[in-house]
Amino acid sequence: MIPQSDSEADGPGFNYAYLDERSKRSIRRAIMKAVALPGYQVPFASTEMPLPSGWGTGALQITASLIGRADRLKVIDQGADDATNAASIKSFFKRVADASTTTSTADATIIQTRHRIPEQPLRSDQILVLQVPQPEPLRRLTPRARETQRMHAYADYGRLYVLLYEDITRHREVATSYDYPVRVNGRYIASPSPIPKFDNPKMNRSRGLALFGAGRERRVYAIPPLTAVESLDFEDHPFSVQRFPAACSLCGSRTSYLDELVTGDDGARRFVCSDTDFCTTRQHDRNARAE
Amino acid sequence: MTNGRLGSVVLEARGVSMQFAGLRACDDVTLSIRTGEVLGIVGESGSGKSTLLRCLGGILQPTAGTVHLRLAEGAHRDLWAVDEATRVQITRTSIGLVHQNPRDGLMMDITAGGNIVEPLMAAGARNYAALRATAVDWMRRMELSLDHIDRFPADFSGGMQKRLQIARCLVTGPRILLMDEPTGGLDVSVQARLLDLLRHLVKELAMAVIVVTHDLAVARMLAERLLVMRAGQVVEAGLADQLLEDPQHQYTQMLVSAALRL
Amino acid sequence: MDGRRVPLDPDEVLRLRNVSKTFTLHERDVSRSVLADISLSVRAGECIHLDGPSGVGKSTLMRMIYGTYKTLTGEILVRTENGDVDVVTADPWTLIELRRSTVGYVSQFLRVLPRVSAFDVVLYPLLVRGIDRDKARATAASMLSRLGIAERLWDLSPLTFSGGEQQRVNIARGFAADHKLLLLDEPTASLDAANRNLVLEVIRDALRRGAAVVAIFHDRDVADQVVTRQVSLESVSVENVSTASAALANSPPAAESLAAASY
Repeated sequence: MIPQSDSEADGPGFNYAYLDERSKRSIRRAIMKAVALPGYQVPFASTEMPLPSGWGTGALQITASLIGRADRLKVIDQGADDATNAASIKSFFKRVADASTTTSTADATIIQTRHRIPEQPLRSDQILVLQVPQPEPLRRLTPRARETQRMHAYADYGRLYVLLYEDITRHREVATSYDYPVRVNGRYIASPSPIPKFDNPKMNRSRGLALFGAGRERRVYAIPPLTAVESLDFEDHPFSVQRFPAACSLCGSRTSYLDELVTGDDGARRFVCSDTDFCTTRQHDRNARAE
Repeated sequence: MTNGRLGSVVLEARGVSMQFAGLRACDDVTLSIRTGEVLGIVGESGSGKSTLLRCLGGILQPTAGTVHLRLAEGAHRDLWAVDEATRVQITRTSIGLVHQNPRDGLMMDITAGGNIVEPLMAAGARNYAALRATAVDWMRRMELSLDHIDRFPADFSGGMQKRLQIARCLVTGPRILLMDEPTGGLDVSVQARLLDLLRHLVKELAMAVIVVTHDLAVARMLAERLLVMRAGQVVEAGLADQLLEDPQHQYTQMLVSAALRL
Repeated sequence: MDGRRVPLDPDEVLRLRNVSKTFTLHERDVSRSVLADISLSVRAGECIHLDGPSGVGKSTLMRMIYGTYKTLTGEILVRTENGDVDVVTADPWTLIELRRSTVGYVSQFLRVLPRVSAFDVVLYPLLVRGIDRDKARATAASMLSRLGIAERLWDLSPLTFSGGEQQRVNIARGFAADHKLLLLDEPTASLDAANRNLVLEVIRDALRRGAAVVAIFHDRDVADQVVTRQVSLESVSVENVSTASAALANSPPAAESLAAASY
């Protein structure tokens, strides 16, 4: 709502979810274009948010343009709901959107995340909003926008595959372990954001919608539900994910992404699920079964 | 002409002109070339020969004229009338352009092997072992030591960089090869070796080759037909030995006699 | 096909009609007429000897037949499998094809390319003619043997060969492809007696196979052994140095207008 006069300054001073409706519409338009062209980076008019750029302003704007009164918002950072950044983003939306928030992946309708994808597969009514610092997967090849645009336009991705070739030649395997580039819907190559490559397979034919926001770079892109997402590889050197040497010491999971914690000066270490909600839920289930 | 090696016309340029502000780099050039042929384009600096090559190679749009490619039975393309995506697709697979400066044709931050096989990866090749084998094969064919396959082009001598560039151009099996001063900047003995290699390659692969050079000896060695360019125009054309031994045009006579005096 | 052109007789391989050659050197503003109104007919099995004093234009005429020198007037018809070709009006592709399939040129010296082996020198013209690779290799081997080039030399570049050896490789190359018209410019000049005889035998063989030969021989004795007809250029050509060049030596300024008038 655009204030019509100064008397409206007595009000909250901002629209629902902080952004005015016009801005929200333009962001949603950009999102629609992104959904229509899976993996293609759509430019958008990124605006000032009460968060420094580089801290998730892109994702913040996406969430702000989508969130409504019926939504339940979950925000995680490195898999944890209680991380500082995640917590402050949640309280921001509580304030400007009167939003209901949750830590439960199963309960959430919008999940904003940095650096991880939740272990639990998404449903078709859920939207994942990822924070992306550098949306351009070809940036590692050249700083020139003209060149990266041309490469995307002509699907001229040879040079990116050359990097894989060089890695295999030098290290016998691809050295990249996070922000591992993917081909979306068989066409555009995209950066999945700095998630560990462990999470890449989760994007393939996910039932939920994944939206990627880069505020500083002013780009938004999307992976619509049930879209094919392949991590780049060679036929004879197929993509593979990290394996952990132990199970989660809290919930016993052998399938989730684990954080390594050093517990003492003697170098003792424990492995714990990075996805806190996943871990807690498993612990409850285990306890419930025990009774 | 169906006997021997001379095949059908594979590239035809008609009335190609390139006008820059205040300068007509190419002026109404018409030429054609057949599979199995080597056409030499000779001229001094500023004659427009390099500009012409770029127009033929699909990287510089001429301000007038057409460039037609006949790449397969019935498939006939007007290079500058199709949309850019199609043109990129055609040039990537059918035309190899060897630049005068190897740095324009090589990725200096990628290994030699990587440089050679990148065009294949760009075209969709996804088997590492096969790519590696192709890289090794081309290193051998271009007489580059296999020790260098994982080294960077910046570590190579000028002659080696030229050979690497040629390998990179040939790996996709283009029907047309365009070379801009293939022996420029090389010592005489290195030149001789490269020319020999080129002659063998031209015989082996059924390609049409256009060599642009200011060096008449190079033209004589590689080409059967020559075009002489001056100030953007073709002043004389014909058999290589005829142009060099019995030049008709005043400019050609001057070029030839100047070369002989050296 | 030129409406005025009279086709070759069934056994004619080469016919020149009213062929002239003038060299125009633009820089010196000089025009030099070397050959005028030459006509000649050569049949299969003939070995024509082009005779005449040095400088009269024998090599020039050979080069005109081959297309190395450009002919501006007259007609030079060569019989090919696909009809008669007029070298004077043919486009470069036709001439390239003509040289591959029909007309061979053997000069006094082998043009040596550094890393091409003697075997490849002889092999290449055969391959380019479309001859099957195995057959071509066999032919090349047999030609080299015939001309006395030891097998251990075949994989070497002729660069290190003696002049005589090089020339024998040259002959092998020229005759291996069984061209129907052969132009020989002093082919035996650098050979000793024994090797000369080898070459003469090769020439006779080609003639027996129905080839036509136009040759310039340095040595009268050699010529007598194989030539079937003498053609003396002295009697058919007119060497004419234009008055312009003579004037050039005496009074340069006047020469310009004279030179302009000469062509």
